[in-house]
Amino acid sequence: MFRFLVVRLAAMVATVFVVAMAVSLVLTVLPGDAARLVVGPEATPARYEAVRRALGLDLPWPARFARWLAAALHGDLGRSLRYPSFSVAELLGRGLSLTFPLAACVAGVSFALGILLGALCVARLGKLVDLAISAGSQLFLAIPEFWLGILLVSIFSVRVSLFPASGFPGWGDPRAWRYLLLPAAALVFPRVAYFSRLTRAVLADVLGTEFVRTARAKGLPERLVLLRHALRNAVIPLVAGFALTFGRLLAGTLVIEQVFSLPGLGKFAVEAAFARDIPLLLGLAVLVTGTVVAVNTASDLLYAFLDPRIRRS
Amino acid sequence: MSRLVFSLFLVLPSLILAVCGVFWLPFSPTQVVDEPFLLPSLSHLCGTDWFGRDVLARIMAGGRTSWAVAALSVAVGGALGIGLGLVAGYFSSLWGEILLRTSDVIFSFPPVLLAMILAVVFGRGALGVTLALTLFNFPYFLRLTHAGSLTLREQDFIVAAKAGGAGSFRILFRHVLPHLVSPLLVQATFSLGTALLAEASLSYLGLGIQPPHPTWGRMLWEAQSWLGHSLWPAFFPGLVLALSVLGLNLLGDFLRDFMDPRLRPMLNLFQLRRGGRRKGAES
Repeated sequence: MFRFLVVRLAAMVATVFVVAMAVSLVLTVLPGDAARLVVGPEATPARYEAVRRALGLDLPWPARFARWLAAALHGDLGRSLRYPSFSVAELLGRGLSLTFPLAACVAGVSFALGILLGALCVARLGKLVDLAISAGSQLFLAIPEFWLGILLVSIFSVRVSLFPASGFPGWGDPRAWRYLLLPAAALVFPRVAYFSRLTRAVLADVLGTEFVRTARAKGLPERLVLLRHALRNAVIPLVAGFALTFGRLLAGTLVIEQVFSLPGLGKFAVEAAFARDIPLLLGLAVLVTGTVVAVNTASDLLYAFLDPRIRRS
Repeated sequence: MSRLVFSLFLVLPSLILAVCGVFWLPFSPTQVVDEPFLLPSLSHLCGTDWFGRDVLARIMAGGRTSWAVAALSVAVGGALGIGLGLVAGYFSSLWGEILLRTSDVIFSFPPVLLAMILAVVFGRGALGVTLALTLFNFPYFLRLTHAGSLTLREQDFIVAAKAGGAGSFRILFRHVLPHLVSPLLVQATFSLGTALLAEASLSYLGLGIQPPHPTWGRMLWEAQSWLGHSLWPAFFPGLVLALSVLGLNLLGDFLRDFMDPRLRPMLNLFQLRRGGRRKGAES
């Protein structure tokens, strides 16, 4: 178990390191003159030199990356070029303060609802309820999130002004949740569809096993067979699905944040891409990959906790 | 079979519109041809937009780009992944291990962020998007081919071919690859749908193909600010996109259920990602 833990943690650190290295290499070595692209063709030589030095372009890439890495290990990810008065860490913190709660809520709600609908499908396998839920899941997996977002705006903000179409007043405002309801809905639909499909598939598999037959044979009500025996054995793929969804959501809210002009991580990512804000992009890449990898590692550890068979092997 | 017909019924209109758009468009997609915000009618089947451009012509013109970018990225990413996957799986050397780990890293990196970084490097436009989607698609094919050739390697007919004096190259392409065609085809169908969606998202963000050239994603972005006047210019591009992706997903499901059940377990790796059926996982 200890060995497993050490190997997983080492792999996690290695992945983040490789991503940081690759992104830094791609962003600053491949294209022509990064500093020129940042300041634009009309900038004064003094400004050009300043940006060049700020980016560390006067150093060869290994030295530049080593310098960035040393600073990053002390929590300093450099300064943003798009917002010169802020450090990258500050901007990421701001973005996270919106994106993280949004992603957590969306992942949690979709997980619960999806399992419920998926279990309902399996309880009525082949009946009308099952067909309706399965067809709905297929539909919502195919509908682009941002189109759904636009349709929701056109219905709930333009036709009937129930919710604001865009913007976010900050968490201090007691009505802040009203601004997040439509974006959250647009994010929840496809993910509920995902979890209900996954639950249905996994549960249908488990129901074919012998221990389920035994449980039924000893006269257990179908509800208890499903909840107490089948669902517990389906829990590992579901946890894996949750980890995948939550990890992806941190960058996955990006397009929806653009639809609703929310000041989350996605807004900073898009602005950084347009302004060629290299330090900010690098910071974002490290943060997002780090989260994805950490969540996956945590879910791997959770399997061992949930399933004694994995723990012993 | 009715599932096949239904899924083709969803995909083909969009594909035909796009292919047709290469040769003929009802109106110019970039010029004002009528009054703005006309409702769908016989002369403008999808209505006109805020400038008075024909929405159907723009959907057709955008469709050819979307389908071309998606198909190209799946083809190139698929070819790369299959080639490397065969080598990595069959020889399972140190390089194979390195390739697999690289694909793991790409997997853990969110596709939209990857595309944004490539857009910074290659400039916003078709090249950056296609490269990003290629890089996004290739690990799926790599893993699938790798898993497939690992299992096939131990089978009797491969051992027999080896004993008969066939070279590695011949074994890989004449004996291993043909067995992987159907799972790869299923994966390609799903990948095509994902690539269409990803291209639209990037265009929506303004990182894809640049205006005035229309794309589905960009049309949605522009139409959003005119929602107060009319929903139609935002409705049709999204509808065509959603129907294409739905059709491709259903087609992939059909192909998977239709193919040899012994090969289905190879697809299990990916079904978690799509929340798909895991039937036959234990067989």
